[in-house]
Amino acid sequence: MARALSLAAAITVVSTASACGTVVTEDGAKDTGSGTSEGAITVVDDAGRTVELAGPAERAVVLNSYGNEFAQAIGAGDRVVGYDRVSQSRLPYLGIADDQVVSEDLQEINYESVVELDPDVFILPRNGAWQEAARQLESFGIPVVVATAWDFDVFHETVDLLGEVFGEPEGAERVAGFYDEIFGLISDRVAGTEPVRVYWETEQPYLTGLPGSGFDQIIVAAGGRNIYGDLDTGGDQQAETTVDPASLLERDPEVVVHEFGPSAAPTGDDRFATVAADLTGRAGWQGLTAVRDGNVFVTNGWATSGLSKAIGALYLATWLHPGAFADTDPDGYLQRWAEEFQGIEDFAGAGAYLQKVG
Amino acid sequence: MTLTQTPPREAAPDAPPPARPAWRGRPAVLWAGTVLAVLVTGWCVTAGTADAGPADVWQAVRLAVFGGVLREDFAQTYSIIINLRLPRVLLAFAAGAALSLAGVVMQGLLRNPLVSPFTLGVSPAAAFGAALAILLTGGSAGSGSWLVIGSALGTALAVSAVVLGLASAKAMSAATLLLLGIALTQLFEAMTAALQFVADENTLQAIVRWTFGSVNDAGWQDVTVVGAFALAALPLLLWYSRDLNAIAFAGDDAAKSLGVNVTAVRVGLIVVSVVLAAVVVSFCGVIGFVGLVGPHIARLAIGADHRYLLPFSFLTGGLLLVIADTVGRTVLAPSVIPVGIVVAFIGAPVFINLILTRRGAAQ
Amino acid sequence: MSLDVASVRFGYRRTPVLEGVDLRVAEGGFCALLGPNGSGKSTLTKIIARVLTPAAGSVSFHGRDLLAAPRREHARVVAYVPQSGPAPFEQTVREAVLLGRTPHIGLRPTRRDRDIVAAAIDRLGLGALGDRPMSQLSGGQAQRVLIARALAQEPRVLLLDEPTSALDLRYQIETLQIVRSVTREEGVTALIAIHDLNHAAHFCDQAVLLDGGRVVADGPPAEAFDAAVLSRVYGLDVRVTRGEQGVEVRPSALEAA
Repeated sequence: MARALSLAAAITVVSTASACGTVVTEDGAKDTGSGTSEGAITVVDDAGRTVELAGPAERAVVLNSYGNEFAQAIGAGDRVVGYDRVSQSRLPYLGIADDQVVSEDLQEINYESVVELDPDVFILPRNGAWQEAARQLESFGIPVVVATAWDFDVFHETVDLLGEVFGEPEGAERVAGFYDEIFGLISDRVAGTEPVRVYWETEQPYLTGLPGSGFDQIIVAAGGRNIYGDLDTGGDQQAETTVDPASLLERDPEVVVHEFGPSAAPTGDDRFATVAADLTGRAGWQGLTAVRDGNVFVTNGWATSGLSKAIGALYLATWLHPGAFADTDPDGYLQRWAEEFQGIEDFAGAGAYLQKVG
Repeated sequence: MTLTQTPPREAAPDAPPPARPAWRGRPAVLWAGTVLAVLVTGWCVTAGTADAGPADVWQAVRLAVFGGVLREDFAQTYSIIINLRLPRVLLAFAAGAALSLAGVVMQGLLRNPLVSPFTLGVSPAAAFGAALAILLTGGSAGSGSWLVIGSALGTALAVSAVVLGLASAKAMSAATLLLLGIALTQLFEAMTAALQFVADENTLQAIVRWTFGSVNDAGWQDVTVVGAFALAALPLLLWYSRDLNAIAFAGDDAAKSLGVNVTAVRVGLIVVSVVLAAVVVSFCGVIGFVGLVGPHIARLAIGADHRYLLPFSFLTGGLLLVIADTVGRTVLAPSVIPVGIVVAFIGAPVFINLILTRRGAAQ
Repeated sequence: MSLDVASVRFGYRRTPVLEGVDLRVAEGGFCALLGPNGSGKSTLTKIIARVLTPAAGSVSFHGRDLLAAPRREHARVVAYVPQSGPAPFEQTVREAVLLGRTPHIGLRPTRRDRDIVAAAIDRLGLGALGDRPMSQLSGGQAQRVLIARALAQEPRVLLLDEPTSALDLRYQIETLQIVRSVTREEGVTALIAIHDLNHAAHFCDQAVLLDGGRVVADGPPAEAFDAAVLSRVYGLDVRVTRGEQGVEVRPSALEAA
């Protein structure tokens, strides 16, 4: 008897639970602006999605520091109203307030904060939780655009996409032109030079870029040969892997670059000294050609990965082939990027972002 | 210190009555718990970055249920409550309740208060199954798709078959079983981590979501599915609470002699609890410790009789997760701390306390 | 009207434990199952309790096949008292005894179930301990709770698997007295696996001696205890004396020199 009751309860509960899905809808007046066709623009984003925007974004939330650098560079920085915590700490010159931060990272996004900022568009890279964001923001009529500014392979597409979203095609063109100018200069000068063996380390000891990564591509573009250019894990498009310290000694790089995490705050000299001591103090490194010849460089990723690594490519090219670039001043390009494109008024100079330590 | 100290176990039959209550008012405790759960859950809906007081919540819910005209100045608050807060809070409750039920059942059947979907490695295995399905479909199968649920369920069932098969074949002690669970947890976490070497970052971000628990993705569909499983499981498990009591308290042999079909009940209920855990994992990722702490708190409040323990664990597990999630989205607001991380801060100390105070009983 | 065990065989993998056991216990009788460790007496109680399934043979009570009946029905006829062991969860004495009603109740125990539980608790002298957690009981008290649980089952057959081996002398005697009174007063048939030959001789109506999975002696203790047979089965020289106090078994080595 009691069991029969229990069964009845089970059936009731299940049927009630399924009925909960049908919520009575009310008169919604006109909250989502999907009907407004005047000035509407349609973009195809980095995830291949076609996204409709009511018009050029007047208010945007942009996650990821590279995305914010691009928005700033094309002249749309004043329209960004919400950021992630990492952008806040990496890009102090943007003066991001705490109440403009909507997430710590690219995953756990506070959608309520996003909604409160009332943006026209929400922009995040493809390694962010964009499917979830699109679902959660749909009912608020906030379109989600995937733009992956950290990806070397889609630089032009990303800049064009942001230009469309913010209605800044000239700004986008200017940024792309600066980029093309740098790579044009590099390819002119390194043509016919002998490739130099390069080890590019990023953030972690022995973490390096493999073919497919932006780092490998700028090494090749700068007239170098990635000493791990023969490895291919075939996975992650970022293609970064930790290598065996012993293999590095065998492959004996002629130039070593260690790039630490990006931050626009000027790096203190003691940080360069600490990293330098760590690098040259590693077992066996005293015998490396790069260390013997003094070709060890420590850089801040904000500089060398800036403008989709174009700045880094130029610096690397001048280090690999100083003769071919005798009349080129890469510091001038970094300064232009900082002042002209990022709008930094008190640029601390190139020495605050990269140093030769070998 | 005298040499002739009498150990407490040898207390004479006519010793003074015990200090512990005799769980007389258990139905009352259950009702009080239900009311408390509704109140706290309702209050949690009012907490968050955006301003929305109890009156707003009430109005929004009334509108959503009965319909009516939505004022334009209320539209955003309405949408925040109905589309963001409510599903999130309800998903947290449903997930916590389901995990807690799964924990009670596993603990009763294995006669071990330290086991749970998480400590047996079932949840991490389900997370690996979900991640694998996402990887193989190139990220097109998202959270809560049936393929992901199926894959999570398949892996979880396979692992629990292995764990419990080994446990019964080797007549494993509680400690050995837990060590086995730790090994499996490590293995599956490593396997999930290894997937990132073959995943591109677009798929990777979808996989990473499964390694820590979160209800940030909550939508009404998630609430419906997880809620339906949790609500359907409760009466089903209650139906077997008498059998569960016999197995948990008297042991397998005595339970058989009490007329319980131990093998069938055990297999059936383990499957139910693994399904619960796998469904939660495929929507919310791995949320550890709820399946352990929920039942533990419930046992302290209402005793170990499964007829009351099951529904009360449903409440404690649900409340625990709702509160943990509310803490996670308010304490560092506007930042959101994944609920899996918050609950571990509560769960780990309780787990350690359980291990340290475990009676010699839990063999 | 009796409990009948016929040609029961059982083995763990390739190791035979019972090789065709036949025995009959009259209704209301109190039968001791004796034998050295490994002789199969514990296995036999578990088969009758349906904890283990025999490879062959039958067990019936009142002519009704106990092994073929649904488990619940079997449990309304046969109750089993295992050796008391620790439980992982806290439970009061009353709750523990209420488990004995498992084969009789649905989801909720009725007034009648509660009365039966209270009676069983009183019968075992546990009246003052009803609300005491099991973990606070002594070993002897815990064992008596298990007997109370079996009585709450209202069985016609009561099986006890070495219930006294962990108890001190006082509780051993008390336990056996209670079981005997249950057989006398309620006509319950009891079968007890036990080590102490003299206790068996004193309390039981029938003694069955098992050796190597076979019955080697069966009858009233005074008749079943044979010095030669016991000496062979236990591998120890024993002397059997029959006097006014009944039959008594002592190892020869302990006889006064």
